[in-house]
Amino acid sequence: MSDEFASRYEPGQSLEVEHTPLHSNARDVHTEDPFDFEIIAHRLRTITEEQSEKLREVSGSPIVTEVNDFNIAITDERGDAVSISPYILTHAGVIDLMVKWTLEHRDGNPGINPGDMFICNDPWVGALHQNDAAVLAPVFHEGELFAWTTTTLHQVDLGGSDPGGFSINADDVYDEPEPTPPMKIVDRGEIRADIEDLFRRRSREPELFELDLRAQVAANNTAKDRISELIEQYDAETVKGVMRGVLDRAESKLRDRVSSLPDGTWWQTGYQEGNKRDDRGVYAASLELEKRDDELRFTVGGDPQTGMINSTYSGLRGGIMNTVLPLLCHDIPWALGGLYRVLTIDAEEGTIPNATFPGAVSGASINAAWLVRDLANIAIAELLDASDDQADRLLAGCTGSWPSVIMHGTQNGEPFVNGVFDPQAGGWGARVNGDGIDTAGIISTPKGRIANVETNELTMPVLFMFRREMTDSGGPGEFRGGLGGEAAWVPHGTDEEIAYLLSTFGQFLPQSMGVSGGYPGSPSGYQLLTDTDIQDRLARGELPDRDTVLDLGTQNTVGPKETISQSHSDVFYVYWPGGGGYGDPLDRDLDRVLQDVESGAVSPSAAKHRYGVIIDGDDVDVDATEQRRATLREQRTTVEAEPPETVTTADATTTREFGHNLETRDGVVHCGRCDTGITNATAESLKPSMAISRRSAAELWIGDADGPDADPQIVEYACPECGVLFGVEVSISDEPISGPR
Amino acid sequence: MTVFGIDVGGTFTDGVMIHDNGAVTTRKSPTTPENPAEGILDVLERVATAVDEPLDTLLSRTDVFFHATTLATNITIEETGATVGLLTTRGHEDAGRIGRMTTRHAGLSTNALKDYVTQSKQPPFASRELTIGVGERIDRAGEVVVPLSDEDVREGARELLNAGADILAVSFLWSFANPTHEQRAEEILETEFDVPVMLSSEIAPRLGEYERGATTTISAYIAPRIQAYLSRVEEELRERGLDAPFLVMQSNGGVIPGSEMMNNEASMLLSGPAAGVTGAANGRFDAAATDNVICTDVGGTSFDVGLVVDDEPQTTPSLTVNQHTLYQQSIQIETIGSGGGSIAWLGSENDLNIGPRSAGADPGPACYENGNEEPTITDADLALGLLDPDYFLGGELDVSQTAAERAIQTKIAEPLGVGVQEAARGIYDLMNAQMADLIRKVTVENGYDPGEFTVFAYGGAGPTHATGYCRELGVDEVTVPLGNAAAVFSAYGLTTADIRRVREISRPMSEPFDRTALAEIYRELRDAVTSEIDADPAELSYTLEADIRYEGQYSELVVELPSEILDTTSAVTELDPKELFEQRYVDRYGESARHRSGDIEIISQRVMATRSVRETAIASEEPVAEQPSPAKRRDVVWAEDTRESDIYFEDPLVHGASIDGPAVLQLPSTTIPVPPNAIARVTEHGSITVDLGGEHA
Repeated sequence: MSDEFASRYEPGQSLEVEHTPLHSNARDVHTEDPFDFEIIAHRLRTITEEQSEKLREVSGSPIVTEVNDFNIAITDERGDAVSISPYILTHAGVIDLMVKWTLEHRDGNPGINPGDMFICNDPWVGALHQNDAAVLAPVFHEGELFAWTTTTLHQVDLGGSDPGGFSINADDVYDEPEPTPPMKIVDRGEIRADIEDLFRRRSREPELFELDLRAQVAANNTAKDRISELIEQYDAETVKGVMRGVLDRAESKLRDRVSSLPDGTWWQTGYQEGNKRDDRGVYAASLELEKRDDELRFTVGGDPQTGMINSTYSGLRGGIMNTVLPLLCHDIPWALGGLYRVLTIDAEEGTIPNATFPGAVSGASINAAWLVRDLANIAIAELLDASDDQADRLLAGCTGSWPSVIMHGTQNGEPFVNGVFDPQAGGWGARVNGDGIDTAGIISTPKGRIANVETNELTMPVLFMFRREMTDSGGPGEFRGGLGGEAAWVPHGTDEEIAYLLSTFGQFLPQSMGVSGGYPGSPSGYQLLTDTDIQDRLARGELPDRDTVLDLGTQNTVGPKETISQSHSDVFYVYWPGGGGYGDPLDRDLDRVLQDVESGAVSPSAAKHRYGVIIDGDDVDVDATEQRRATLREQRTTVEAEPPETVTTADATTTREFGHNLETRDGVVHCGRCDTGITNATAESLKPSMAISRRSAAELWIGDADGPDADPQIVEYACPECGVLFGVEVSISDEPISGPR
Repeated sequence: MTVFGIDVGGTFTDGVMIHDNGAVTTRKSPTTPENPAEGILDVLERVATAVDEPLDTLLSRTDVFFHATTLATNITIEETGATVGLLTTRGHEDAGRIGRMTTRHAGLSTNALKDYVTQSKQPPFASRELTIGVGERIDRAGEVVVPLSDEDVREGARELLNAGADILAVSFLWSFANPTHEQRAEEILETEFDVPVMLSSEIAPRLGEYERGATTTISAYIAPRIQAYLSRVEEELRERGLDAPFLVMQSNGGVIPGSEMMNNEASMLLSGPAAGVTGAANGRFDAAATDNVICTDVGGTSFDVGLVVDDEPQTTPSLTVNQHTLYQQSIQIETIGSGGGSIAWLGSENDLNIGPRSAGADPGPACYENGNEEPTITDADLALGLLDPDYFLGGELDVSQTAAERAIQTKIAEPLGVGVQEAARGIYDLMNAQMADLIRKVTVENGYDPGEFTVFAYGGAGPTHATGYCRELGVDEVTVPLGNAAAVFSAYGLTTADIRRVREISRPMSEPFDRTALAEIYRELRDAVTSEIDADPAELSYTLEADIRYEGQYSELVVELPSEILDTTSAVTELDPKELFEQRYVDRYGESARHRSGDIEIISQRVMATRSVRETAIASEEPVAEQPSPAKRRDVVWAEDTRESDIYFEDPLVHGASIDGPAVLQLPSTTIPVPPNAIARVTEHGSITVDLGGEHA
C-alpha cells in the first residue's frame, strides 16, 4: 500500500513543490494600509458568498439545494483557508489537506496548470467521506499559482455496494464507493470527458453527478474571476498580504480568546451502537481537550477500527474545527488556516475516529466524525463553563446523531435514489441563560434547512402522516435542550415496496449531552410498523393522529444499521434527537415548565419525573412541586459517595475552576448550593466523591428488548449533601467517562 | 394632473406633490405612530402652505393619491397583530414552528450567522396553541386521499375562537393543487362562525407548506390593523376633500386601491423600499441612461440595493421578513445594516469594523454631543469636510466637527497611529467598499456586470457616499434623482407606479409540455387577475412568468414567457420554454453550468396584469447658459489629497449648471461630493449627474 494515502495525511511543514511556481510575495498590508486591508478582506468574504449562491442555485442535488450540504473555501497558494462560506463547516475544515496533497503529489505529473481543476473524494487525502467530492481550482497570476478556490458537495451517489453511499454492509473500503485521490477533471478550462465519465459510470444518479459537477466548476470559475479582478485592482503582493494578514489575525484572536479561558483538561467519551448491519456491539470513542495558555490540544482515541462506523483523520479534524468555530470564534474571522495553528490534534492510529486504509469509512460523516464533533462540543462547552465571564458563550450538546434515511425503489416507472434529510432538524443544546433552539439544525451548518413535506412528497413516493417537534426530546435542565423531531410516512404513488438503507447511532445511548447537570437530549432511531390497517383507515376517510399512527400494527424497532423494505401496509417512523440541557432540571423555573407542558414540548409525566413539577389542571401545584423536588433531591443523596481526598497545602493555591454550581476555595471544590466540600480541587476526578446514582437508560427513552449487547445507563453525579445535580452521563461503564481531570 | 405621493416611514412621513406642469414640491414631517393619519395630514398641510393653497381645495382637485407605509412591517416586528388561529392538516401542526429551520437564520448577516448563542427562531404567526390539525388529506396529484371532516373544522373553529382567535387562517397540505378542502372549510367558518378567514390556496398558491402557511398567517396577523388603518386614512382624506383614487403600494412595485387590499395585505410588507426602485424604473429621467439602474438608498441604519434591468425592476418570487420566508412577489432589495449612524470601531487586532451597532438618532453620532463618543460614518463624513457642520440637515441641527474628530482621534486614529483625516478617510472608504461589495453581489448573482449600470443614489446619506462606492465598482456615472428631492425619492417613486395585480399557481409540468394545458393555466390566471382589476381589459398589459428548473433541481429561475403561449395554435418551436429558460440560465450562471442532457420542468405559473395610472412626466427646465459660482471654499479630504474645494448651495444648481470637481454640492436634504476630475451636471429635471470620467476619485 502506498503511504501517501494509507493513514493520516500530514503535509510537510514546507511543502515540496518543484514544478509549480508558487506566488508567495506578500506586503505587510495591515501595517502599511490598514484600511485597504479591511476592504480587500471584506471582498474575499463576499466572493465566497457569491460562489455559494451560484453553487446552490445550479446544483441539482436536494442534498445541496434543500439541505445545504456543501461548502466553499478560498485558500492561499499552499491551501490554508482564508475564507469559507457558512454552509457545512466540516467540508471547509478539511480542504487544506486536499490542496496540500494535490500540491505535493500532482506537481509536475500530471502538473498543475492555469485552467485546471482537480476532483477528490479520498478520505485518506482529506475528504470527509467518499460521497463528498471536492473540486479544487488553482488560481494563477502571471504564471504563478496564487491561490485556490474550492467547492465541496455531497454527491447523492458515487457507487459502492449500497445506494447513497453509506455502505452498512462494508467490512472495508473495497465494499464502498471508490475513493479517488485528486484527478484532473478540468484540463486548461475543459471538463475532461474521460474523467467525468469515470464518475458517471460509477454513479446510480449519473445525471445528478453531471449537474453538480457543473455547479462546482461554475462556482469555482466565478471565484477565480473575482480573485483575478481583485489582483488587477490592487496587485498580487497586496492581495496576498491581506490573505496572510487574515490568517495571522484569526490565529492571534483565537489565541487571545483561549488565553482568557481557564487552564485545564476535559475529557469526554461517547458511543456508537452497531458497527455494521446486524451487529449488536457498542463502540467507544473519546476526546480529551487540554487547554494551556493560548493553545488547545485535542487527543482523540477509541476502540480499534471496526465495521463501517469509522472516520479517517480528516473527519475527526473537521469535526473538531466544526465546534471550535461557533463556540470559540463567533467574532473571529473563519480563516481556518490561521485557526488551525492554535490547535494540536493527536489521534491514535487504527481507532474508530482515525482509521487506516482499508477501513470502511463511507459513513464517517454521520458516524465517527459526527461523534467526535459531539465530544468536542461538550469538551469546549465545559471549558467555557469553567470560565467566569464566558460561560454565556456555550451551547450544550447539539443534534447528537443523525438517523440517515436513504430510500430507493421505483417512482413513475423509473428507478430512484433519494433521501429524507429532515432529521437534520435536531435540537441545539441549552445555554447558561436560555433554552436551546428547537429543531435548529446541525451545529456544523449555520444556514441549514430542511425540505417542505410537500417537496419530499413531490420527489419521493410517500405520504407523510406527520412531521412534528417531538415531546420530551429536549434534554431536561434548568435550561432545556432544544426539541428534536419525528416523522412517519406510508408509501404512496408506487406499486412496489420501498427499500431503505438506514444508519444511525445514539439510539440507545443518546449523544447530545447536557452540561452542568443538564440531561442529554433524546435518542435517534427508526421503527417499522408492519401489517397496519393504515391504508384502510385512509380509504375510510380517517386521518389518524400521531399517537394512533404509532400504535398501529406490529412495532418493529429497526437496528442502528439496517436495510429494510416497506410495503403498502407498513408505516415508517423516524425520530431524531433534541439538544442537551444545562443545569439541574429541578432548578427550572416553574413557569417555564408550565409553558413547556402547554405547548407540548414537555409531557406532564416528564414534568413530574424530570423536573419535579406537578401540574394540576392549568397551573402548577406549588406545594406538591416543592415536596416532589425535595424528595427527588434527597433520593440523589442516599447513595454513598467516596470520602473526599484530603487537601494538601500545595493544593490550596489552585485556581482550577469547574462549571456551574461548583466553587473552588482554598484548594477545595465546594458545592455552590450548600457549600459542602466535595473534594480536593487537584483530584484526578471529582466524580467519585459525588453522590452517584445509576439507572437503566431504557427507563428514560424507548425501552427495547432488542437493544445492544451492553447495558446503557444514565449516571447522575450530585452533591452528597443537598442533591443538586453536577453532571449526567450516558454510559456503559462502571467508571466515570467524562469530566475535568 | 395633480398627484400626491405620501410615504410613511419609521421616522419621517415624506410627501411629494406633482403639479399639472410636472413640477415637484416635497416636504417631510415626523411620523406619528399612534395615528399615522396625523403625520400624513401634517405633511399635506406643509405642501399646501408651500404652494399657497388651502389643503381642502388642493385635495379636491387632486387626480390620484398614492400611498406607501411601513405599517405592515412594523406590526410584524413589534408583534402587535391580531390573534390568529390556524387550521391545518392533522400531523403537520408544527410546520410553522419547524419553519424549515430557516426561521433561525433567514436574512441574518454573516456575522450574526456565526453567533449561535444569540440566535433564536422566529415563532409562527399562529402560535402552536392556536394551531389545530383537522382530518383531510390531498396528495401531490391533487387527488383527495382523505375527505375533509366538516366536524373537525367546526370543532377546531370552536376551540380556536374560545381561545381568543380574532381571525382564522386555513392552510392544508397540497391545497394549491386542489383548493376544494380549504374552500369548504371557509364556507363552514363564514356561514356558521362569522369569523374572517384566509385561505392559503388564495393567498399563496405555491408548493411549500411552510412558506405558504407563513404567508397566509402573516396576512391574517396584519390584516385587521391594515384594514382599519387604510380605511381610516382614506376616510380622513375624503373628509378633507379628496375625490380621487387612493392607491396603495405593494412589494411588487405596483399599486392597488386601498379598498381592494383585502386578502392582499402581505403585499404591503415592502411597500416603502419598493417605491424607490419603481421610481427609478418608471421615472423617465433620461431614457437612455436609465435602462439599467442600480438603486441605492442609504438611511441611518441600513443600505438598500435594488436593480432595474431594461426598464423593469428586478423582482423575486419570495420575500424575507423578520426571519420568515414568504411567498410574495417582490421587488428584489438586498440590505445590509450599515448607514450613517453605524459605529466604526477597532477590534483586538486593531482591525477596523463598521457596525452592526448604530448610534441611531438618539444619542446619535458623536458630533451631536449627546452622549455617544464613538465615531460613526456621519462623523467621518464631517471630519473629511464632505459635510458642513454649519449646514447639517440644511442647517436645522447644530453639530460639532470637533467632537466628531475627537471621537475618530481617540477611538481609531491614535490606536492605529495615523492622523484623524487619514482615519476618517479609511472609515469612509471601508464603508463604501462594503456597500460596493453588496452591490457587486446583487448584480453578479443576477448574472449582470455592474459596469453596465448607472447608479441612482437617494435617501439622505446616499449621495454623500455614492461617488465612493461607484469608484469601487467601476461605475462611471452617479445620478442623484431630482436633486434635493432625492431625500424623499421613495415618495416620488410612488407617484410613478402602475396598478398591478398578480395571480399565481403551482402546476408542476414536465417535458414534453402539454401546450394546451399550459395555455389553459395561463388563460385562467389571466382571467382571474383581470377580474380583480376594475378596468377595461384593453387597458391592461400582461406579463406571463414561469418558474422553471432542470429536472432534479430544487431552485427555479423566473422566466418571462411571450403572450403567444396563450395561443395553442402558434408554432411550438418558437415558443419553446426550454430555449427561454436555457438562455436565461446561461446568462445567469455561465456557459460552464449548462446541463448537457437535462429536461426541464415548470413548477409555478404567474400572470401580472398592469394598468398605467398616468403618464409620468417631470417638468423640464430650459438650460441656463451662465455657470454658477461657488458660495464658499473649504478643505475637503479626497482620496488623493486634501484640496480646497468649491462649495455650492442649491439655488444656483439649475439645468445647464456644470461643476468641475473638487466641489461639494450642499443641498438642504443631502450633500453631493464631486471628486477631483469629476464633473457634476444638473439635468433638465433637476437631477444631478456626477460623471466620474473614468478618472475615479
